[in-house]
Amino acid sequence: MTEPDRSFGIDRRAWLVIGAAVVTVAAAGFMGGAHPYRPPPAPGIEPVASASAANAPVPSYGDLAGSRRGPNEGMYVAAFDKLAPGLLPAPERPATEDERRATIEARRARRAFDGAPPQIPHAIDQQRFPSCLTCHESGALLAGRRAPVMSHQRMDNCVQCHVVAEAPKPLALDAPPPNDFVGLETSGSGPRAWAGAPPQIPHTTFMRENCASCHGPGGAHGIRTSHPYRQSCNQCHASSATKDQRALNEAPPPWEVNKP
Amino acid sequence: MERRDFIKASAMTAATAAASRLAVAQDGVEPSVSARHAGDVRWQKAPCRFCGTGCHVQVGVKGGKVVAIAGDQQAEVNRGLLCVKGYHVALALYGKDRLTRPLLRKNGKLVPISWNEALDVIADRVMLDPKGFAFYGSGQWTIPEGYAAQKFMKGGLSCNHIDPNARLCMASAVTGFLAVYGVDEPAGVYDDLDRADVVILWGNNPAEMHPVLFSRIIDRRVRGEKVTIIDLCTRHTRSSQHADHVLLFKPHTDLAIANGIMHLLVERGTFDREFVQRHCAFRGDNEPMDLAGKPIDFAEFKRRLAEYTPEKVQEISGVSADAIRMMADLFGKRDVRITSLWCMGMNQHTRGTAINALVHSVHLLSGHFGRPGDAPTSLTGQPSACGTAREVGTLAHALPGGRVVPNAAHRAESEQIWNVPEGRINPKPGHHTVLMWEKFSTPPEQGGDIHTIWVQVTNPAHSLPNRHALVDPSRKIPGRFLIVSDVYPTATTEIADLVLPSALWVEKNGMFGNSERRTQQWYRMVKPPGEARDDCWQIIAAARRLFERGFEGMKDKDGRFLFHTEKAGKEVPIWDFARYYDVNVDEHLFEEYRKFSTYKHKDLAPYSEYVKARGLRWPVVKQPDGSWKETRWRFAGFDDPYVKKGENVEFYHSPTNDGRAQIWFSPYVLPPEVPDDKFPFWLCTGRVLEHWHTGTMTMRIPQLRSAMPEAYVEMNRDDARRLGIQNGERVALETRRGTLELPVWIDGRGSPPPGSLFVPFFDEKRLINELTLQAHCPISKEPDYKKCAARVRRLGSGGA
Amino acid sequence: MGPVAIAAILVTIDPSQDQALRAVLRARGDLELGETIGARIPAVLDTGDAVEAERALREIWDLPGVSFVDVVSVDFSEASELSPEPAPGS
Repeated sequence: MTEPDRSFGIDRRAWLVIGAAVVTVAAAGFMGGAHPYRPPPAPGIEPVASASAANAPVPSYGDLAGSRRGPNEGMYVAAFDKLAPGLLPAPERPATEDERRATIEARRARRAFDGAPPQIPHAIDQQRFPSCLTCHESGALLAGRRAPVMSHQRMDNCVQCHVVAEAPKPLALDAPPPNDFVGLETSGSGPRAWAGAPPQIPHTTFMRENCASCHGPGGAHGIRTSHPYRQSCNQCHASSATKDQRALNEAPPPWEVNKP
Repeated sequence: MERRDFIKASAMTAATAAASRLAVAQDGVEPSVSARHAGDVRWQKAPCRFCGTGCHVQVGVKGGKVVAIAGDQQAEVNRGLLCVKGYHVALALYGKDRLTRPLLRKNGKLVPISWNEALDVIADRVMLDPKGFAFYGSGQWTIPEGYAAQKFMKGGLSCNHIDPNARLCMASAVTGFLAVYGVDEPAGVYDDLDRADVVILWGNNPAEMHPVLFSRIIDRRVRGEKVTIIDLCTRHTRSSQHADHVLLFKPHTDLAIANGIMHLLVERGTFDREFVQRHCAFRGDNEPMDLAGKPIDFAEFKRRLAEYTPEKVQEISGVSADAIRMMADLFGKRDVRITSLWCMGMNQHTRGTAINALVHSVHLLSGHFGRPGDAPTSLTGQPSACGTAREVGTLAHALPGGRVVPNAAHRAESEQIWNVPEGRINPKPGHHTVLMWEKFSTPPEQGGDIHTIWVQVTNPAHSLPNRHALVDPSRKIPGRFLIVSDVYPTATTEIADLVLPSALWVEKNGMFGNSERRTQQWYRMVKPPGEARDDCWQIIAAARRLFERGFEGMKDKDGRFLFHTEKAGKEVPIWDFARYYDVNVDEHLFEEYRKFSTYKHKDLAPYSEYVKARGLRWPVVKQPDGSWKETRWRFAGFDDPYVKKGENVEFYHSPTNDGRAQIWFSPYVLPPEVPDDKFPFWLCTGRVLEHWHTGTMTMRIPQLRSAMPEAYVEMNRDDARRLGIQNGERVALETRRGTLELPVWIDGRGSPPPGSLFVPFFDEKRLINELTLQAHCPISKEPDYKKCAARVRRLGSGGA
Repeated sequence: MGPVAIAAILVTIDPSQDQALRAVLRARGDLELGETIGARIPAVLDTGDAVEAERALREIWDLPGVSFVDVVSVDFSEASELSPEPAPGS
C-alpha cells in the first residue's frame, strides 16, 4: 500500500462521506421519507383527557403550583378551547405555498408586525404571578394542544410584553380602535449565498434564541424545519449582523438623509 | 451494459428527484411582495415616545411608513427589551382620526382653516395683551420644543405664565431634590438596579409603570442573584407579587414610616456617623412650610423623631412594628446596598416635598448614598419631564439650566444668551399650573388675568384635577380663548377654540431627557399626515407672525428675529414650513440651550455627540483627548468630575453652600380629606401597564386597547360582598366633587385592602380626575391625585 | 467492463445561462443531462473511476455560470474496488 490519493486533500473514503453529508444538508428533506422523524415526547406535562368546561381537567403536579383556589379558579378551563388547534407535529413533507401563507397569516393575527411579542390567546390571572412557564417553558401538551415554547430565555414578568388579546372580564371592548398601521408581515426568506446554500436567518435572533420554538418539530407547518434531527442551527444558518443590531455601531445617517 | 444503463437510469431518477425536492423544500414559494422587500426596511434609533424610563427602540421604516419596532440592544437603559407599549409605539402614529388640518371654532363648531389664518389668530390673541397670554406645556415636549416655548414666552412676550403638565407629576420630586441637595435630579442611575441588594418601592408599581426597569431587577433572580424587594404600598399589585415583603400602609402615612426608620437609626446609633458629620446638616419645617426650612441641630432632630417609635408608627401606618425594625436593620447595615424607587405615589401628595425629602434623608442618615446600588432614585412618568420641564425649566418661576426669574444675575445671563435687551425678562414668577387654570376660569372682574392659554403636547381637560373648577368655567367666560396643539382629538381639543395638528414622535426631529439624566436624540423618519406640523415650528411661526406685525418682543437686541437661524451666513426662513428642514432647527436650538447647562453642572455635550449615542447622562464633560464622558454617579468622588479631588462625596450645590446635603425632619400630619361616614372609602388613581397618560395614543392601538379597554374601580372583595356588589357590576363612584359610573373589578389588576378603591385615569370616557382633590403640596404646588374620600353606590338603589 | 463510477449529481446554475451551459455540459461526453428544474440540472456522471469523477466534478464546478455541484449518490458497484490504490502513472 502506498500513500492514499489526495486529489481533494482528503482520501477517497472520506470523499464518499462528504458526498453523503452534502446530500443530507443540501437536499433538505430528501432523506425524510426514508427515515421518518419521530419527535421525542414533550417533557413535563402529559396530555390530559379532556378540558371542556363540563369536564374540568385533573391538574398534574406540574400545574398544581400555579392552579388557583380563588374566585377565578375556573378561568383556565374554558380558555383551552380558545387555543389554536393544529400545533402538533404533522407528517414530514415540504410545505406548500398555501400552507406557508396560512401559517404566516396565523402568526400575523396574533402580532402587530413581524417581531412584535404575540398576544395571549387565552385568559390569564391579571395580577398574581402568572404561571406561564408551567406550560410555555417546555411546550406542554394540554388537551391535545401544544403550548408554544418560549423563543427567548426565561424572564419573569411575562405580562410586560405579552398582553391578552381579548378584554379581561368583566371589562368590555366596545369596538377596536381604527388604526392604519400596516406592520411588516413576515421576515421573508433569508438570503442564500447560492441556490443550494443554507439560508441566512431572516430575522433577529435576539429574543428568538430558541429556534425550535417556531421552527422545531412542534412548530407550525410551513416554517417548521425539514431537518429537525440537526440541533445546531447556527452551524449552517448564520444570523444577520444588521438584524441583530451588530452592524449599528456606526452613527446613523446625517439628518438630511432622513427628510422623507 | 444492461446493468450499467439501469444504474444510470436510477441515478438520473435520484438526481431529478433531488432537484425537485430542493426546488420546493429549499427555495420555497416565492415570498409575498412585502416579505421580499423585508430587507428594504431601514432601521434607526429613537427613544420610546411613552414614559420616563427612556428605552431606545429601533424604528423600521419602509415606503415612508413605520412598519416595525425592535428593542435597541445597544441602549444601556433597556438592552433590547421593551414593554408592550414600546413594542407597539409605532401604531400611535397611525390612528385613523389623526388631526390633519388647523380647526377654528366658528358658531360653536370646529371648521378647517389654513395655517396662515391660524397664525393670525394666535398673533391677534397675543397682541390683545401679551401679559394675559399663557403657555401650558408638557414633559412630552422635546427639549428644543420646550426651549423654543420658554424663549417665546419669557424672552419674547416678557411673560412668565408658562408651566408644564410636569407640575402635576414631578414638581414634588424637584422640590425634594432642591430642599435636600440644592439642585434638581437624581444622583443615582439605573445601574444601581443591577447592584442593589435591597430595592424599596415607595408607593410605586414599576411592574406596570416602569416594566423594563422592574425586569432589570427581577431578572437578576433568574440569573441566581439575590435581591430583596420591599413593596411599601397601599394596594396589592403586580409588583407586590414579586416582592419579599409587602407592607400595606394607610394612605399618606409614608411620612411616619420614613420617620420611624430614622428614629431607630438614631436611637440605636446605627446611622452612618462619619457620613453625616462630613456631608450633612439637619433641617426642619418652617411655618408656613417652605423650600428652605429651618436649620436644626442633631439633638433637636433626635428630639423630634422621638415620638416615631415602631409601635407608634404601626398605629399610624398599619405597618407592623417588626417591619419597621426590619427596614431600620437593613438601613443600619453598611454592607447592604439599598436603592429606593418612587414615582407618583410620593409626588402626587399634599406633603409631596416633605416625603421626597424624608426618603432622601433616610438614605443620607444611613450613608446609603454615593455607592453603586445605594441610591434614592425618583422615577419620572413622562419621556422628557427631566429633559424639558426640569432642565430647560419651562416652569413659571424658572429659566434654563436651573436659573430662576427673581434672580437678576440669572435674568441677565439669559438675556445675554438670547441676545435680547436688558430687562426683557419679567422678574415676577408667573402662574403655576393650578393657578393658571384657576385664573383662566375666573372672570376678569374677579381677578382672572389669563385670557388665552396655548396648550401643547398634553391634555389638561383630562389630566387636571377637579376639571369642573379649573377648566369648564373658562368655556363660559366671554373672551377666554383656548389654543390646543395635538395629534388626535382629545378631551381638550373638544373644548378648544383653535386646534392645531401636530407632528408626532419620529415625524419630527427631537430630543428627550429621561429619569436618569440621560439626554437622547432622534431624527425625523417619516412625514406627518396632512398638514400636521412640528410643535416647535408652530411656536417659531407664531413668533414670526408677531415679528412681521412689528411686535418688539420678537426682535433681539440687533433687531433680528428672535429665532434668527443662519446657514452659511444666510438667514433661513424656518417659519416657512417648506423651508423648516433646510436646517436642523433642533441642533441650532440645542447648541444655544447648551450654553445654559454648565451653571448647575448639568453640562451637555454638542448635538453631534447625541447623534452617535443612545443618550448620554449629564454632566457630560469633555476629556483631554477631545472625547465626551458622561457621569453615572453624581456627587460621588469616583465618578463625578465636579467632586473635589480626594472627597468620596461632595454636595457641590448644597443649599447651605458648604458642601452639605440636608437631612430633614417633617412630621406626619393628616391629609386634607379623610374617609368619614358619608364618604367611607379612600380613592386612589393611577395608571395601568397598557395605557400611558390620558390614553390618547395607547387607546388608539388595538393590541393595547383590547387588553385594557376601559376604566374600572378596584374594590376589596369583602367590601363588595358587604355592599352586595358583584364583580363586573356597574356602580356609581361619588366624591364631594363628582360622580362617575364604572364597572367594579374585584381581584383584577390589583387588590386594594378593605376601605380602599382604585381607578385608572386613562379612559377619556370616564374622567376620574373630575372626582379628585385639587389640594396640593404647599411647596411644589403639585395636586394629590392619590387620595380623597369616596363612596360607592349601587345603581338603581340607595346603597352606600 | 473496466472500473467505473456512476454518480447522480445536481448542477446548480445561473438560470439565465441554462441553454449555454447545457451545450457546454453536453459536449463533455461523460454527462447525461436531465431536464432543468428551477436553477438545477440533474445529471448522471459516468467516469472510469473515482479519481476521474473528482476531476470531472471540479471541472464542472469551475465552469462559469455554475454555482454549486451536489453529489446525490455514487454507485461504485461496477468499479473494481473501493480501496485506495495508486492512480496509474502517479
